[in-house]
Amino acid sequence: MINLRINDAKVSVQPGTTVLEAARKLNINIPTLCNHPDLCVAGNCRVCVVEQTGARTLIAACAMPVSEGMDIHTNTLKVRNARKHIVELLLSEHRSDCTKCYKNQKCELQALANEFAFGDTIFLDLVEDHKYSIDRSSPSFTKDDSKCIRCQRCVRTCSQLQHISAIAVANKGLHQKISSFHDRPMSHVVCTNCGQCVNRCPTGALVEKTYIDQVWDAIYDPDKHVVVQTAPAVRVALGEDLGYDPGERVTGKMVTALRQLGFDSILDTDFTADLTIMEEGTELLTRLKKILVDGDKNLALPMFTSCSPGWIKFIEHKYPEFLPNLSTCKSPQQMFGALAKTFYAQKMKLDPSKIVSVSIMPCTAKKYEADRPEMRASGYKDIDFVLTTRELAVMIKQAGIDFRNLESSHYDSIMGDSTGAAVIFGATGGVMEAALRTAYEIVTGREVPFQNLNITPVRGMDGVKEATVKIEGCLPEWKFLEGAELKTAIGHGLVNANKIMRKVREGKAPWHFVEIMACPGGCIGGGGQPIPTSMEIRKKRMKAIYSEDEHMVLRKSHENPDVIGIYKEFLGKPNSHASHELLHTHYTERDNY
Amino acid sequence: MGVQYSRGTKLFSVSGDTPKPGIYELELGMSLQDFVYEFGDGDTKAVQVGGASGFCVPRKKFASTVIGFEGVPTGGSMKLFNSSRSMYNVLHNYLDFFAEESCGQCTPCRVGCQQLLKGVEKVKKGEVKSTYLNELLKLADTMKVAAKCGLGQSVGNAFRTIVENFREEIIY
Repeated sequence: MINLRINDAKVSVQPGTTVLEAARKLNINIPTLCNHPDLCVAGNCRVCVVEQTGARTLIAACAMPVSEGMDIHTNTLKVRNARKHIVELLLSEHRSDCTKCYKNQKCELQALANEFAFGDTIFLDLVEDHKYSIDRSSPSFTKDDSKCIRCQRCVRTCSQLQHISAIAVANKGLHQKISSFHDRPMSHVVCTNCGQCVNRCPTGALVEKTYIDQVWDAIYDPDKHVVVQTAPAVRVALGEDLGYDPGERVTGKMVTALRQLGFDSILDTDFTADLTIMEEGTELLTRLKKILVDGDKNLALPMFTSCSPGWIKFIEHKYPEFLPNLSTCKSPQQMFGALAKTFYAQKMKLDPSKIVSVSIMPCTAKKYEADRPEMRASGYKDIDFVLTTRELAVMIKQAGIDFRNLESSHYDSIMGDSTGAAVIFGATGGVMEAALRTAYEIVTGREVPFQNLNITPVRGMDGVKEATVKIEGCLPEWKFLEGAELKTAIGHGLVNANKIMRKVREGKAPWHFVEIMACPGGCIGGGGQPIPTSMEIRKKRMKAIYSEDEHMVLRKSHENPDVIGIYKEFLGKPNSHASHELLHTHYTERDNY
Repeated sequence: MGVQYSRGTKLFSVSGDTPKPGIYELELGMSLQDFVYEFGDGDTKAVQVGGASGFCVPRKKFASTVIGFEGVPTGGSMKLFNSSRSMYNVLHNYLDFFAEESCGQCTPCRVGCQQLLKGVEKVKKGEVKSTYLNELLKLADTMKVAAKCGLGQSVGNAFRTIVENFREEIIY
């Protein structure tokens, strides 16, 4: 243990602890900006400088490891003056149109300015000296360099968490900026639109593209029937933007709030998540049968899940030779969109051209996915607008809804029923668990041999998880699987996707079925989720998701009455012609630069 | 040879307003006055000891300044300026250099250099009050203690010594 003193209080910590962490142990707050719990130390904003007795310069608390006998002071005049200057300097290169900014009151720089730099501005405005343009090319987010303070959180996120490096630091000195390959627009580089950078940007330099006004317009248009779907991960995170602690489930209140906002029908993406399991599970079993029994050489294993649009874009760019391995199933969002303007329109006797389909997602890549040209199976744009969890919170605030005191209510019928299997789609390993619950039962006629249906080996925050399920006692039609071991792998965060894909490319992958989610922790850690997101917060959201699952009466996708109903009335059976038309898609090879 | 903390000799690069620019081996601990007698052109106004990140010594301090750790330490760069030179231009040149050459990672250096540069330009043009130089001197102090590396930490050396010794040349 290392002993040191901070503001004259003694503390003992493990070697390797930073001064910042040691101070937090003493409940001494040191302001930070470029520091983020998910990312490596950068130490470049210098907001966290503190004074070390005997040192020539101030030290950055976030980057300095403790040493024996250190004597730290966090609040001396020297420190205060330096901090004030540093915040003023950052403000001088930041376009402060705060009252109009989407991040107003959610901006970390603004919070620091409030603490350290109120009153007269000291320094000259540098924004006017640069030619900045706003990159609006991506359908998922906008990049406004005039608000960038070069903390490089986005750059670290993209390289460390996602292994993409769509954005990187270019140039030096006064010309330094966060740029893309050849300074191309973000729509024309290898960017998966995952939004992890957006989630970590402390200012308004990277924000999701908002469609709030368009959604309001649709709601107030008497000719339009506006249906809204909510993704599983939204209900365990929305509360954070509305004053709740991380990990609070607000499903019922959220449904009531959506109703009060004026949506005509409140439906659940969980319904199509269950449908995804039926389609994807059947696809997997059919694929196994064709390969193992019929000797079909054209089909590839392992089969990859296709629910995460960030992951889809990743594989299209980086590993296009494995596109045949992807499940052809659309993501639950897009299945929902296709059905809303066909099945739902028929049932409700509505003109599909009058339906506006809105989805609330924990994700920015979903905005891109909805814009894909192939996502028009209904004859219309299947999903008209995608809002993030954060945007929904903004709408709830705009409407003046007292969220905390809302009564809970239930989703509307037809496409609103869901099971626990669908809810866990929101966490890494969830799709796998849901698929196994159903596939095992299809093959053996029995429930998966795990207590309470909780397939714990696929849960948790490990980057790459592997699980093997032995299939025994098959029904006659699945006899070829008797005694087989179904090998699965689960990855979350594209850095782990990359690990898995390398293994697959090297031919060292033993798996049959692989689930990959683009964001750390799965959708609960998505780019559209409330800010901040950290490992601690992701774990709380994950816990909430699994508790939501356990509180459901139905916990297996094939038991969802709406799913059973739609197959009976509309689709026939899983992987039928009708479902291929509406629920399946194809992929496009993209450049790796 | 040399003095207590600065032993022996050192290679010096002598440039600027001197009749004999070049590389010379000189004994450490020599006074700047002796140096100027040797290399000056008879009209030396100031010597920049240690390059852009070093210190500017004005004529009145030549006799009391020793080259070495006892006085002004240097990597070896010695630049002489005579009375035909504007010290504003000298400072502007250094700040322009630093604003460009800062790697840009840390705030004090990346933004600080730009502020110092823009600040002296505005003072010169009369667009801000001359007392703004005092704010810039405080900023230079912050850069000295808060920048991540030696480059940002030493920008203030030239800035402070030029502004303090030739303030009227910066303002008028």
